[in-house]
Amino acid sequence: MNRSIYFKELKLNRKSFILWTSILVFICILLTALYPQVAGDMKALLSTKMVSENMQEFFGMRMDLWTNVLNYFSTYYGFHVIILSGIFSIVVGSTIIAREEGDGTADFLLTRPLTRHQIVLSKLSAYLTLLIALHIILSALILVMFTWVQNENGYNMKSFWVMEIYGFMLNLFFGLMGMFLSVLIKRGRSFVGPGVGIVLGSYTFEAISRIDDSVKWLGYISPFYFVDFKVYETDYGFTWWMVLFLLVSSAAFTYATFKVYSRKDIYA
Amino acid sequence: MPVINIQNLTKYYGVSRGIENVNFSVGKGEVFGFIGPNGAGKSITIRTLLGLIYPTSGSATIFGLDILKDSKTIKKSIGYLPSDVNYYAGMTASELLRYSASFYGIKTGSYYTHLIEVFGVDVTKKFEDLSMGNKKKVGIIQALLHQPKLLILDEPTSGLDPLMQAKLFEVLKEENAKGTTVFFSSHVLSDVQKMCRRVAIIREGGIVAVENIQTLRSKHLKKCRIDLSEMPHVNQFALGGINELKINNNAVEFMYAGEMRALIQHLGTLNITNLSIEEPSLEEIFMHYYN
Repeated sequence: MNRSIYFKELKLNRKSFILWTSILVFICILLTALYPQVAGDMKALLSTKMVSENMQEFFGMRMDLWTNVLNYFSTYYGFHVIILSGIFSIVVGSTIIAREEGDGTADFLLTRPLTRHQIVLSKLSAYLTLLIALHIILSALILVMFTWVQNENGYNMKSFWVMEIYGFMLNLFFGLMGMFLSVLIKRGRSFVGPGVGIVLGSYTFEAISRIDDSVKWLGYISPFYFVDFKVYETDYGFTWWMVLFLLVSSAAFTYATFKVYSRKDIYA
Repeated sequence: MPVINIQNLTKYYGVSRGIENVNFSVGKGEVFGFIGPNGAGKSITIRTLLGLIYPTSGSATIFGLDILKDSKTIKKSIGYLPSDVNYYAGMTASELLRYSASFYGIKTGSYYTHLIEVFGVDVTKKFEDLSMGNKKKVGIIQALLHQPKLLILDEPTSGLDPLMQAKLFEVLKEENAKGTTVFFSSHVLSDVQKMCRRVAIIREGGIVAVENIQTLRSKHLKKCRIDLSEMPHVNQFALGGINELKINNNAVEFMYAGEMRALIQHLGTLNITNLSIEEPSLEEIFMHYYN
């Protein structure tokens, strides 16, 4: 790894990191702070039986299960927090290498005494640092907020970390997939638009697949299918084949990025 | 051992030709010109040498090391100036130069200060705020900063004013005197003629000649246009060295490769009303030289 590239990437992405982190921090604070109020309102809404179970599934509401703050927060975590952090992850992942070509700076970087593996490794390390930092900040913040708003039911700390690690693995999957797809593209054209589309599209596919068994197959083409944010289920924990899928596919994207970039023609 | 040795280097993009069977070598301490019109394959050759693009076939060595296997080692001793300088927009010139120096494990000391003084760049400005000429100067400084053994310059004078071009030539001559080999790629023949001892001419992806610059100069190729008071006869231009003669009423156009004194003496025998003698374009030299 090259320290100069690593620190330059952290510096270059700091504004974007601060912006996205601030948005997510604000959302997490807002969502957790609203828990006592919303939990009461939902309890009242549920009693009217106006929202069907299918609708509840589609919107990830599961109102009857908002008995503690983690159950409540998990329904938003798997949607708002993960979609936004997923977009951040795929945008950073897909631009961190490709931007050099897009901005015409690849000629400068690739004519320094470095191997292409060193360049990818340095940029990958910077990306991982940003993603890990984002999750640490959010986890710390959420835990602090939980201690303020939790009710007498408390919450399961182990379930929180399982949910958080699933979220991290999903974001990692998106970022590494973005990185791989971006090195496939000639002349490093911007991958931001397609990246946002992939995250939103994946979520929608998985959400639709939950409505009815006839469209369940749609879920298999979405990485959201391979994470579990249903912390309210009694046996909630890691499912080995889901974890395996995310880790193996992330490792495959990383390996493919190194392979493709090491032989890629860089155009002026 | 040549500093650069290229053997049958070929690059195809699918079925379209990039370069084909390029062969030449550059000796230690040479200032070697690489000339050809736009799209001839100059940049593709350079980019292949630098490991930016991968050859379809053929091989090349720099300092005796393979350009593919030993790319990292080779680049420690190369300074490269691209034709279009694109650096990190948000960085100041100073930050960029320090960033570049960090890859070579060097500190920006007295040589850095010297180069900034010579080229007169305000390094506190952000790169995006610099003029085209100043961007080029930053590019030149970053290529020279680590005192490389080989300088690869792609269209180095483009964007520089004549004063700065002269300064660049001066610096390159100083570096060459210290033993630095210079690979000077350009489509401006006069630039190459000023700097280089030998030149490789590339056309449509292939090397058409590797010439000593003196051989090219000795041809004294000039493009001549004259107007005469009366319609001339072809026989009036039967002077050795006159080629591509075109007579259009009283106007005559031809290429001349030979002693200037002989041409002037010959023209003195004609009733000339107007005369222009100019440098031919590169394309015209190609046409003359290879027809």
